[in-house]
Amino acid sequence: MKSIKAFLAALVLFGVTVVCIHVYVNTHLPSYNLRYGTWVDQAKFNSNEGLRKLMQEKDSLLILGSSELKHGQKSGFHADTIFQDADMKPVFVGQAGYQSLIAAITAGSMPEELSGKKVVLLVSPQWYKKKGVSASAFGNSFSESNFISFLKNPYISDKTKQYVIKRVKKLTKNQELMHQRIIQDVDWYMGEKLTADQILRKDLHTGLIREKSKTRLLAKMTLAGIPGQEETGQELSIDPLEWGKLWAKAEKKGEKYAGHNPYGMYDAAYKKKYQSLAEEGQIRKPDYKADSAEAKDLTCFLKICKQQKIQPLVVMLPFNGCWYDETGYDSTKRQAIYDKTKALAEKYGASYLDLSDEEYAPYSFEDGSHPGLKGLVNINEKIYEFYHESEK
Amino acid sequence: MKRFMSFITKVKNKERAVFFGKVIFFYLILLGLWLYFMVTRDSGAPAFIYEQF
Repeated sequence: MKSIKAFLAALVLFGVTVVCIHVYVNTHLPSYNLRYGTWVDQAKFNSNEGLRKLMQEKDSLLILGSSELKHGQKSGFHADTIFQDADMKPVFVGQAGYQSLIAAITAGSMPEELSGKKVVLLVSPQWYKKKGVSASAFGNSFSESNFISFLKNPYISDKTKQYVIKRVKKLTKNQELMHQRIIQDVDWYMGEKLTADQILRKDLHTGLIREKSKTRLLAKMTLAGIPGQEETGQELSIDPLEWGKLWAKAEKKGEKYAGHNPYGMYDAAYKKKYQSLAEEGQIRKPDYKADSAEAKDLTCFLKICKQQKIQPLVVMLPFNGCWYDETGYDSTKRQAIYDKTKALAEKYGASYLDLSDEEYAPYSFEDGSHPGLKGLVNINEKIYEFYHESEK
Repeated sequence: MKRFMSFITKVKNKERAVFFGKVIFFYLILLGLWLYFMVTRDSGAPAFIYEQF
């Protein structure tokens, strides 16, 4: 009997603790600062409320992409430095494994915040594998919190939602737990009239998902030392947004860091991986296809933007020409990928940034695929121009 | 060690201390379960191994 009493007392104490944490989390949801906006972490991408708060900020610009968002951080040419105190606030969503389908769900998960705004999608040509995004990459990038908000979005047509649902179900079919939850979410948010019991379960489940994503966000931010508020007075190595100076600095650094290998990449990356691959004849031949499933996912992203009146900029990242020549993936095949992406962007009225003529630009790559130095300056400058362009 | 053992014996003899010990024990278990639920990822997906292209 005493043990039961002790358990009940512990339960009350636990309840009070959970309520206190709930109140703390809800009153301390972080607001924009550049470090947080350009922070690449799944806890940030998975919290729909966290993202919404960022996008409510005046001058915020959603930038969706993949691994290139993390490469070059703290180099002085990355958005995490360039846009300090700027009149544009980049909000990064993406890391390795994120592709068009996740970008589509994310863009469709913040209707009030994104409608009428501009959004940038950085498309890597390496996304164009035959089957598009892999099941493991998708499973790791998936956010139930964003997916539920996507399903609830009134601006997106049922046809577009059905495409996403079909893809999501297919990609998660071997991940039982996740698959079941997705089916349940679809039933709850897209199904016919729900019973009182179903409504209760739906609200409870959604509340827990939201609570969890917010708590994880705050915990991860604290662990990573990311501030929850505006930072001021940081010392910068270069004045922000002086593009001429940035170009000159990238050129100078390029000679030092990327001037001693045949592929126009960082010498350190060359020595660490690419030199031995080339010398030992172990280069894998890429197999990217313009008719990849990725093209359909990208189409879906563009449709979602159109339905929500979002003005997207599709940035087609270039192949590292010197390296891809070595792999045997020739310029005709590369051009087919660029052409496909451009055609889709044009079809859906999106702005398109063609960087295909940068394939051989010196000091523009960190490795075989990621932009670095001048490549980063170029992309950031073009995004900044797009942000300030008057609407079409 | 002797001191510790005598401390434990003293605590065991005090009903109130045993009760509070139990409360803290159950509380920590509940908190641990809750933290586990909050911190684990939603995804049941196998780890994605990033390969550079």
